[in-house]
Amino acid sequence: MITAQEFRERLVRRRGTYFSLVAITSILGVLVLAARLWREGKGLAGLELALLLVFIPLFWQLCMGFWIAALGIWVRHIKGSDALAIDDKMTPEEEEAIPLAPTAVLIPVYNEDVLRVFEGVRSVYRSVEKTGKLDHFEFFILSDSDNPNRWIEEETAWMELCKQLNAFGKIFYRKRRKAINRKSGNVADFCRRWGAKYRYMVVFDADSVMSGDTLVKMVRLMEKHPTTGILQTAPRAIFSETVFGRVFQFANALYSPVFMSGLNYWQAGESSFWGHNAIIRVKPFIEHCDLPELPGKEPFGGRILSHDLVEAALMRRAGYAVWLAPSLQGSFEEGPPTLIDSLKRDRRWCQGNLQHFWLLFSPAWKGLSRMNLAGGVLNYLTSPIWLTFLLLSAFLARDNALGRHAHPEAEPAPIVQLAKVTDKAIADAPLAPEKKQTLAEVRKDFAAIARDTKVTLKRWFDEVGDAPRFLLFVVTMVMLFGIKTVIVGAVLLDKKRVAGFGGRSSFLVSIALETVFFALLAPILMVFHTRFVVMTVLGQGVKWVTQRRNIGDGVDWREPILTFGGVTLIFGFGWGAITLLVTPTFFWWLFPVILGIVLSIPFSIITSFKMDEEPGATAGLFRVPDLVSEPPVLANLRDHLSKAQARIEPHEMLRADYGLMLVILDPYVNALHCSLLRQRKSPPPESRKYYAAISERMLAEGPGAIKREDKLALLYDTESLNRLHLQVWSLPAEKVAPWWRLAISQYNVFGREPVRQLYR
Amino acid sequence: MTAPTFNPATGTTEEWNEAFARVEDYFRAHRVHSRMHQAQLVYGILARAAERHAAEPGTPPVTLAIAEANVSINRWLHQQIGENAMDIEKAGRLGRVAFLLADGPTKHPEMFLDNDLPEDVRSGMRLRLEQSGPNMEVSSMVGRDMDLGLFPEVAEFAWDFLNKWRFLPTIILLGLFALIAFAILALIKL
Repeated sequence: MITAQEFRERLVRRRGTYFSLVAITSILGVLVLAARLWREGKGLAGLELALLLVFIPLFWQLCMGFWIAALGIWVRHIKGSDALAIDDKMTPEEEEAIPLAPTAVLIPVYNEDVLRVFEGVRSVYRSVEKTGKLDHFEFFILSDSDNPNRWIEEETAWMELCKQLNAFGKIFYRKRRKAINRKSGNVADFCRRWGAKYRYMVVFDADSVMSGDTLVKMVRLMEKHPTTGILQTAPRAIFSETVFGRVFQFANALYSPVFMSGLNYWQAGESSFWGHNAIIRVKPFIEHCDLPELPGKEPFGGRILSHDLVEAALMRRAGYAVWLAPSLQGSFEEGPPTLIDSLKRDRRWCQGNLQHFWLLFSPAWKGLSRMNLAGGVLNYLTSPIWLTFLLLSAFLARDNALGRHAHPEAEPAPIVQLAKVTDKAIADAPLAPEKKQTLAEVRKDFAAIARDTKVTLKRWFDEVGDAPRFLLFVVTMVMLFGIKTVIVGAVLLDKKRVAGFGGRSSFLVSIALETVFFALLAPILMVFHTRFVVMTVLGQGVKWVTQRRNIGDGVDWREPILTFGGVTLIFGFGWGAITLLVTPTFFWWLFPVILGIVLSIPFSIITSFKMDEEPGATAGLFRVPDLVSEPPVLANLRDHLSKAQARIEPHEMLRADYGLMLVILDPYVNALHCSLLRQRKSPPPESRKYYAAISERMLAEGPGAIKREDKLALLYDTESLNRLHLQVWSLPAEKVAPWWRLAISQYNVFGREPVRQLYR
Repeated sequence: MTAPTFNPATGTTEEWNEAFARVEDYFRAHRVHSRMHQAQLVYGILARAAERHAAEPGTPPVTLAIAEANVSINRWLHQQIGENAMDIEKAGRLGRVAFLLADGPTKHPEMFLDNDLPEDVRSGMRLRLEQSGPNMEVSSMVGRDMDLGLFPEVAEFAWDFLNKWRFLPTIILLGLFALIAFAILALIKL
């Protein structure tokens, strides 16, 4: 058992080692570049200094990543465990001895795929049930959906799921009337209403899945470590059905554990919270983690978008630890299926992270919190910095190509200027003879110093010769590919692990393809992240939208062309052609960057192609252990989803407003919806007129004629819904819209076999 | 063999056919899928609707039939959940939810509108009224004052300034484009 004193000492040593390594390699990298620039430009000023300046944060980031991964390799593959980590040390007997505490599993949803959300809940629920510890867990589906159809489908799905699992009183559904503060507001609303009933809450994303064993273990870890406020798992990517998704899933499975272990090694208790797949101690969260409002208006000010990092910092401020749990298995999430979806998500994250800029200057933060916040900001600023670096390099290359060195003779330093004072100048100076004598002696000394200094610097830079040119390249390549090589090597040497990645040959081909994939992707991200930063700075905010988590009806060819067309022309062909014309040598250095941008359209389209996951198959491209041997919680979910997706879809004409149709037509859904609505006083006469007018149009013209916000308003009025229900059923056919006639004739016509939208 | 007879005194055959089909659909919407059971229920409802139509010939038969069906269902549900003090409309609404939650439509569809509903469903209905959430335990979650340092104050001033000079971002954007254009020209001008 490590004492608190020992913990602190070891942590200081770890952080000292990490930051020293980062600092030393960064300084060396910068010196090597400086040497190179010196030799090429015969001095350092202007362009060279600017280049050096933007190189510093870029190389610092690279070094940080490198050493995190290196420490991760050290922890996982050499030491085998982390003595300070809280998730590594419990024996099964110890675990069993720790009692559980009331825990709420929160699933905040916003217009998500209802089938996927509720099947996810079913799998997690069943998995917890199998542990025999279900009594300690309750599930909350916290809806902020403002799509009328989604809302009704969610209610229906909740009821059916509770019925099927006999889970009334265990799974709850709550719909917020106003989605204040988005997801963080949704969770805060839960805390205010029911938080006091639970010691812990596990926050999910709509696509999160966690096994029952993992949930139980997380609660036990929190019970064992009462000063831990947040325990964040490292979720693995699942259900990737496109090339894009599969490559990310593969990279996530291969590299993420190493990076997480490395990060945890030196952050130890001062980590970040990613907003989902994490357990939170409710009481301190309620007391300390309500988000402050930022100065100014959105996009930079106002309500905090990326709440998770700030909540972690607030938890740290309150004196609670925030831990990563890299060794906890059984935590999963889905990723964006295409490049465009990934960029849309990045656009939101970019704005959210840049907002944290204001928080960096608060004296309130403890320890690493400020650094975590700064890291989030720098993640997106790195792209414009990289772009600037490349542009400056182009200018420098042009100067070098023309032999136009910015400083053929470096400006002499004052010491050198004094050393160059002539004998005549001393003789002519209006000074006393003894002063002239002193000046002559000083000049002599300064000349000696200046000569020595010049010789030393010159000798050093001359001695390194052409080495910097290649040294920097080699160092950068080692930083980029060294860790990858070690991780791949470790997998290749382990028969069991390599089998999890589809066997040796499949694994190696996947690695090669994945390397090409990320090489092409990086410049695209650079251009788009730069754009996002500029847009945010110029005040263009983002809307809260539902994240697309599957490819749906297939590849969209139009969107990639529209999204990447301009970028391909300007940054791909334009920049490439100018560089080729002006500095052909530099063009070939820039070629990988230009290639990625030029190929962005086909890259986006090709990576959107569907790629069957084939769970259970032992060989193939981009296999991951979770596919080769699928965990039961995922297999269960996949099975239920495929059965549900095999059901017939509703009539095409009715599909768009199916939820609304259900609530008006189906007597049970209508009754359920009205019962779930909070009882309100009868609305004033003006509102009654408004509702009557919408209802009339709804009957006479069908839902297609009604605006979305009017439909939503109608769904909050029980009187109107009851009346509409009776009217649709009781009016003669000619008095209702053809849409309703079709709905009545189609509804439930297939008997017990439900249509896909009607979750049963 | 004699078929059940239905000879309404008022209304046309088309009107009553429409009423028949609609009531049948309405029962199907209540998950009564047995055609036999549907037919029995529909005849009963239509007979009562026909009596009413004789007194209210201006009201379409389909309207009266659905009203009759609704009243019958509400009364029946009111009886099953045993909440005598509750008004019949509300009992109809809660009763439907309770019947569904007790799995009545799946387990005993043939017992719909039958006063001899099995006791397990009846007690299940009384037990399982809808639960949208556990009892609330209200907590106060309010943001604590946070000293954001000097910089945000400067930033706030900057935002106020930007709000007054709304065209500034456009100028910055144009400046950025001009800078890029200049850079390109500088590169080409060789």
